[in-house]
Amino acid sequence: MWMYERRLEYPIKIKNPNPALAKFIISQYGGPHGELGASLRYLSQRCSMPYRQVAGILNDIGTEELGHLEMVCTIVHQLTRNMTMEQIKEAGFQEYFVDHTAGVYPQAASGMPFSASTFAVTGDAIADIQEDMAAEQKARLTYDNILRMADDPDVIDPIRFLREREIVHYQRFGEGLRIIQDNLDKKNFYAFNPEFDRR
Amino acid sequence: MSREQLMRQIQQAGFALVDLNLFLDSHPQNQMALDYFTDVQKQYTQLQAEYEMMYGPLMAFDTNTEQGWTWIQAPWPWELEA
Repeated sequence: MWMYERRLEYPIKIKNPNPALAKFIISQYGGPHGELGASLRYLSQRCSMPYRQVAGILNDIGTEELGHLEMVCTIVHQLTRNMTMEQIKEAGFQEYFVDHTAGVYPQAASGMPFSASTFAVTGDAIADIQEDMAAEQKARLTYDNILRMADDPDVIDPIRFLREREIVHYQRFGEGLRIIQDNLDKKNFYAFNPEFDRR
Repeated sequence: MSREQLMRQIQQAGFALVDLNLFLDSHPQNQMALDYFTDVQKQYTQLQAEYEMMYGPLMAFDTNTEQGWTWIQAPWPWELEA
Protein backbone atom coordinates (compact mmCIF):
# COMPACT_ATOMS: atom_id res chain seq x y z
CA MET A 1 0.00 0.00 0.00
CA TRP A 2 1.01 3.64 -0.18
CA MET A 3 1.04 6.19 2.63
CA TYR A 4 1.01 9.89 1.88
CA GLU A 5 3.93 11.99 3.07
CA ARG A 6 2.93 15.61 3.35
CA ARG A 7 5.77 17.25 1.41
CA LEU A 8 7.04 17.69 -2.14
CA GLU A 9 10.15 15.82 -3.26
CA TYR A 10 11.58 19.21 -4.33
CA PRO A 11 10.29 22.67 -3.31
CA ILE A 12 8.01 24.65 -5.67
CA LYS A 13 7.08 28.28 -5.08
CA ILE A 14 5.78 30.04 -8.18
CA LYS A 15 4.95 33.67 -7.45
CA ASN A 16 3.24 34.77 -10.68
CA PRO A 17 0.28 33.15 -12.45
CA ASN A 18 1.05 32.31 -16.08
CA PRO A 19 -1.55 30.18 -17.89
CA ALA A 20 0.56 30.30 -21.08
CA LEU A 21 3.14 28.05 -19.35
CA ALA A 22 0.48 25.85 -17.72
CA LYS A 23 -0.94 25.15 -21.19
CA PHE A 24 2.02 23.01 -22.21
CA ILE A 25 3.43 21.89 -18.82
CA ILE A 26 0.10 20.04 -18.28
CA SER A 27 1.45 17.51 -20.82
CA GLN A 28 3.82 16.13 -18.19
CA TYR A 29 0.75 15.51 -15.98
CA GLY A 30 -1.40 13.48 -18.37
CA GLY A 31 0.34 13.54 -21.75
CA PRO A 32 2.02 10.71 -23.72
CA HIS A 33 5.39 11.08 -21.88
CA GLY A 34 3.94 12.32 -18.60
CA GLU A 35 4.33 11.28 -14.99
CA LEU A 36 0.93 9.56 -14.70
CA GLY A 37 1.75 7.17 -17.55
CA ALA A 38 5.24 6.63 -16.14
CA SER A 39 4.04 5.62 -12.68
CA LEU A 40 1.24 3.37 -14.00
CA ARG A 41 3.61 1.73 -16.51
CA TYR A 42 6.22 0.75 -13.91
CA LEU A 43 3.79 -0.11 -11.13
CA SER A 44 1.86 -2.40 -13.52
CA GLN A 45 4.95 -4.04 -15.06
CA ARG A 46 6.46 -4.89 -11.66
CA CYS A 47 3.75 -7.47 -10.86
CA SER A 48 5.04 -10.08 -13.33
CA MET A 49 8.76 -9.20 -13.16
CA PRO A 50 10.56 -12.39 -12.02
CA TYR A 51 13.86 -10.80 -10.86
CA ARG A 52 13.76 -9.28 -7.38
CA GLN A 53 16.18 -6.47 -8.10
CA VAL A 54 14.34 -5.40 -11.27
CA ALA A 55 10.94 -5.64 -9.54
CA GLY A 56 12.45 -3.37 -6.85
CA ILE A 57 13.60 -0.86 -9.47
CA LEU A 58 10.10 -0.83 -11.06
CA ASN A 59 8.38 -0.52 -7.67
CA ASP A 60 10.59 2.28 -6.39
CA ILE A 61 10.86 4.33 -9.60
CA GLY A 62 7.07 3.95 -10.06
CA THR A 63 6.64 5.32 -6.54
CA GLU A 64 9.00 8.27 -7.15
CA GLU A 65 7.00 9.05 -10.32
CA LEU A 66 3.89 9.51 -8.16
CA GLY A 67 5.88 12.18 -6.31
CA HIS A 68 6.72 13.77 -9.67
CA LEU A 69 3.03 13.66 -10.65
CA GLU A 70 2.38 15.68 -7.49
CA MET A 71 5.13 18.15 -8.46
CA VAL A 72 3.71 18.74 -11.96
CA CYS A 73 0.22 19.10 -10.46
CA THR A 74 1.66 21.71 -8.08
CA ILE A 75 3.38 23.63 -10.90
CA VAL A 76 0.16 23.76 -12.97
CA HIS A 77 -1.89 24.74 -9.92
CA GLN A 78 0.48 27.55 -8.94
CA LEU A 79 0.59 28.85 -12.54
CA THR A 80 -3.22 29.01 -12.75
CA ARG A 81 -4.23 30.14 -9.25
CA ASN A 82 -5.32 33.79 -9.09
CA MET A 83 -5.13 34.20 -12.88
CA THR A 84 -7.32 36.97 -14.26
CA MET A 85 -9.79 36.66 -17.17
CA GLU A 86 -7.45 39.00 -19.03
CA GLN A 87 -4.50 36.61 -18.59
CA ILE A 88 -6.67 33.65 -19.64
CA LYS A 89 -7.62 35.38 -22.89
CA GLU A 90 -4.09 36.63 -23.60
CA ALA A 91 -2.64 33.14 -23.10
CA GLY A 92 -5.28 31.45 -25.26
CA PHE A 93 -6.22 29.37 -22.22
CA GLN A 94 -9.98 29.52 -22.95
CA GLU A 95 -10.26 25.99 -24.39
CA TYR A 96 -8.92 24.45 -21.19
CA PHE A 97 -10.67 26.95 -18.92
CA VAL A 98 -14.14 26.33 -20.30
CA ASP A 99 -14.10 22.67 -19.15
CA HIS A 100 -11.71 22.70 -16.18
CA THR A 101 -11.60 26.31 -14.87
CA ALA A 102 -8.45 26.39 -12.67
CA GLY A 103 -8.58 22.65 -11.94
CA VAL A 104 -5.75 20.27 -12.91
CA TYR A 105 -6.91 17.63 -15.42
CA PRO A 106 -4.66 14.85 -16.80
CA GLN A 107 -4.36 15.69 -20.47
CA ALA A 108 -1.72 16.30 -23.12
CA ALA A 109 -0.83 19.82 -24.26
CA SER A 110 -2.92 19.05 -27.37
CA GLY A 111 -6.03 18.59 -25.19
CA MET A 112 -6.10 14.79 -25.58
CA PRO A 113 -7.19 13.24 -22.23
CA PHE A 114 -4.84 10.81 -20.47
CA SER A 115 -4.88 7.34 -22.01
CA ALA A 116 -3.34 4.02 -20.95
CA SER A 117 -2.61 3.54 -24.67
CA THR A 118 0.45 5.79 -24.11
CA PHE A 119 2.25 2.88 -22.43
CA ALA A 120 2.57 -0.90 -22.66
CA VAL A 121 2.75 -3.89 -20.36
CA THR A 122 3.97 -6.74 -22.55
CA GLY A 123 4.70 -9.33 -19.87
CA ASP A 124 8.15 -9.78 -21.43
CA ALA A 125 11.04 -8.58 -19.24
CA ILE A 126 13.31 -7.35 -22.04
CA ALA A 127 10.52 -5.67 -24.03
CA ASP A 128 9.19 -3.90 -20.91
CA ILE A 129 12.56 -2.61 -19.69
CA GLN A 130 13.52 -1.41 -23.17
CA GLU A 131 10.21 0.49 -23.26
CA ASP A 132 10.97 1.98 -19.83
CA MET A 133 14.37 3.23 -20.98
CA ALA A 134 12.77 4.85 -24.04
CA ALA A 135 10.05 6.33 -21.81
CA GLU A 136 12.65 8.01 -19.58
CA GLN A 137 14.31 9.53 -22.65
CA LYS A 138 10.93 10.73 -23.97
CA ALA A 139 10.14 12.37 -20.63
CA ARG A 140 13.64 13.92 -20.60
CA LEU A 141 13.22 15.42 -24.07
CA THR A 142 9.75 16.75 -23.16
CA TYR A 143 11.30 18.54 -20.16
CA ASP A 144 14.04 19.82 -22.50
CA ASN A 145 11.33 21.27 -24.77
CA ILE A 146 9.54 22.79 -21.77
CA LEU A 147 12.83 24.41 -20.70
CA ARG A 148 13.23 25.89 -24.19
CA MET A 149 9.90 27.71 -23.75
CA ALA A 150 9.72 28.48 -20.00
CA ASP A 151 10.95 31.92 -18.97
CA ASP A 152 10.14 32.01 -15.23
CA PRO A 153 13.03 30.93 -12.91
CA ASP A 154 10.44 29.72 -10.33
CA VAL A 155 9.27 27.19 -12.97
CA ILE A 156 12.63 26.39 -14.55
CA ASP A 157 14.19 25.26 -11.25
CA PRO A 158 11.78 22.37 -10.41
CA ILE A 159 11.54 21.38 -14.12
CA ARG A 160 15.35 20.99 -14.17
CA PHE A 161 15.12 18.73 -11.13
CA LEU A 162 12.49 16.56 -12.86
CA ARG A 163 14.63 16.39 -16.01
CA GLU A 164 17.64 15.16 -14.01
CA ARG A 165 15.58 12.41 -12.40
CA GLU A 166 14.68 11.02 -15.84
CA ILE A 167 18.41 10.59 -16.54
CA VAL A 168 18.97 8.77 -13.23
CA HIS A 169 15.97 6.50 -13.88
CA TYR A 170 17.29 5.71 -17.36
CA GLN A 171 20.57 4.64 -15.77
CA ARG A 172 18.82 2.39 -13.21
CA PHE A 173 16.68 0.75 -15.93
CA GLY A 174 19.85 0.16 -17.96
CA GLU A 175 21.26 -1.73 -14.97
CA GLY A 176 17.95 -3.60 -14.71
CA LEU A 177 18.31 -4.69 -18.35
CA ARG A 178 21.84 -5.95 -17.61
CA ILE A 179 20.55 -7.93 -14.61
CA ILE A 180 17.82 -9.52 -16.78
CA GLN A 181 20.33 -10.44 -19.48
CA ASP A 182 22.75 -11.92 -16.91
CA ASN A 183 19.97 -14.34 -15.99
CA LEU A 184 19.15 -15.38 -19.56
CA ASP A 185 20.70 -17.66 -22.18
CA LYS A 186 23.91 -15.69 -22.94
CA LYS A 187 23.98 -16.96 -26.51
CA ASN A 188 20.39 -15.90 -27.19
CA PHE A 189 18.75 -13.37 -24.85
CA TYR A 190 15.43 -13.92 -26.61
CA ALA A 191 15.35 -17.73 -26.44
CA PHE A 192 12.59 -17.57 -23.83
CA ASN A 193 10.47 -15.07 -21.91
CA PRO A 194 11.45 -15.29 -18.21
CA GLU A 195 8.05 -13.86 -17.21
CA PHE A 196 6.14 -16.72 -18.89
CA ASP A 197 8.27 -19.68 -20.01
CA ARG A 198 9.17 -21.94 -17.10
CA ARG A 199 12.46 -23.74 -17.59
CA MET B 1 14.62 26.61 12.94
CA SER B 2 11.76 27.99 10.81
CA ARG B 3 9.28 25.58 9.25
CA GLU B 4 10.71 26.26 5.82
CA GLN B 5 14.35 25.70 6.88
CA LEU B 6 13.47 22.43 8.58
CA MET B 7 11.43 21.33 5.54
CA ARG B 8 14.41 22.02 3.24
CA GLN B 9 16.60 19.78 5.41
CA ILE B 10 13.96 17.03 5.31
CA GLN B 11 13.75 17.39 1.52
CA GLN B 12 17.54 17.15 1.21
CA ALA B 13 17.84 14.06 3.41
CA GLY B 14 14.71 12.57 1.79
CA PHE B 15 16.19 13.07 -1.66
CA ALA B 16 19.43 11.35 -0.65
CA LEU B 17 17.38 8.40 0.63
CA VAL B 18 15.29 8.14 -2.57
CA ASP B 19 18.39 8.21 -4.77
CA LEU B 20 20.25 5.69 -2.58
CA ASN B 21 17.18 3.46 -2.53
CA LEU B 22 17.20 3.24 -6.35
CA PHE B 23 20.98 2.75 -6.47
CA LEU B 24 20.85 -0.05 -3.89
CA ASP B 25 18.11 -1.84 -5.87
CA SER B 26 20.67 -2.46 -8.62
CA HIS B 27 23.78 -2.51 -6.36
CA PRO B 28 22.58 -4.32 -3.21
CA GLN B 29 26.12 -5.34 -2.16
CA ASN B 30 27.68 -1.87 -2.33
CA GLN B 31 28.99 -1.31 1.21
CA MET B 32 29.69 2.40 0.73
CA ALA B 33 26.09 3.01 -0.36
CA LEU B 34 24.76 0.84 2.49
CA ASP B 35 26.77 2.84 5.06
CA TYR B 36 25.70 6.15 3.55
CA PHE B 37 22.07 5.00 3.61
CA THR B 38 22.33 4.16 7.33
CA ASP B 39 23.76 7.63 8.08
CA VAL B 40 21.08 9.54 6.18
CA GLN B 41 18.36 7.26 7.56
CA LYS B 42 19.26 8.34 11.13
CA GLN B 43 19.39 11.98 10.10
CA TYR B 44 16.00 11.71 8.39
CA THR B 45 14.27 10.08 11.36
CA GLN B 46 15.61 12.80 13.65
CA LEU B 47 14.55 15.66 11.35
CA GLN B 48 11.12 14.11 10.88
CA ALA B 49 10.56 13.82 14.65
CA GLU B 50 11.71 17.43 15.15
CA TYR B 51 9.42 18.70 12.39
CA GLU B 52 6.38 16.80 13.60
CA MET B 53 6.85 18.05 17.17
CA MET B 54 7.02 21.69 16.05
CA TYR B 55 4.86 21.94 12.94
CA GLY B 56 2.44 19.00 12.87
CA PRO B 57 2.31 15.58 11.25
CA LEU B 58 4.04 14.66 7.97
CA MET B 59 2.14 11.37 7.87
CA ALA B 60 -1.53 11.00 8.94
CA PHE B 61 -0.62 8.08 11.25
CA ASP B 62 1.72 10.39 13.23
CA THR B 63 -1.07 12.79 14.20
CA ASN B 64 -1.18 13.56 17.92
CA THR B 65 -4.93 13.74 18.64
CA GLU B 66 -4.51 15.62 21.94
CA GLN B 67 -4.76 18.84 19.90
CA GLY B 68 -7.58 17.48 17.72
CA TRP B 69 -7.25 16.43 14.07
CA THR B 70 -4.23 18.59 13.19
CA TRP B 71 -3.52 16.59 9.99
CA ILE B 72 -5.73 18.90 7.88
CA GLN B 73 -4.77 22.18 9.58
CA ALA B 74 -1.30 22.79 8.12
CA PRO B 75 -0.96 23.98 4.50
CA TRP B 76 -0.86 21.27 1.82
CA PRO B 77 2.38 20.87 -0.15
CA TRP B 78 0.87 22.19 -3.40
CA GLU B 79 -0.07 25.44 -1.71
CA LEU B 80 2.70 28.02 -1.74
CA GLU B 81 4.03 26.75 1.59
CA ALA B 82 6.03 23.83 0.21
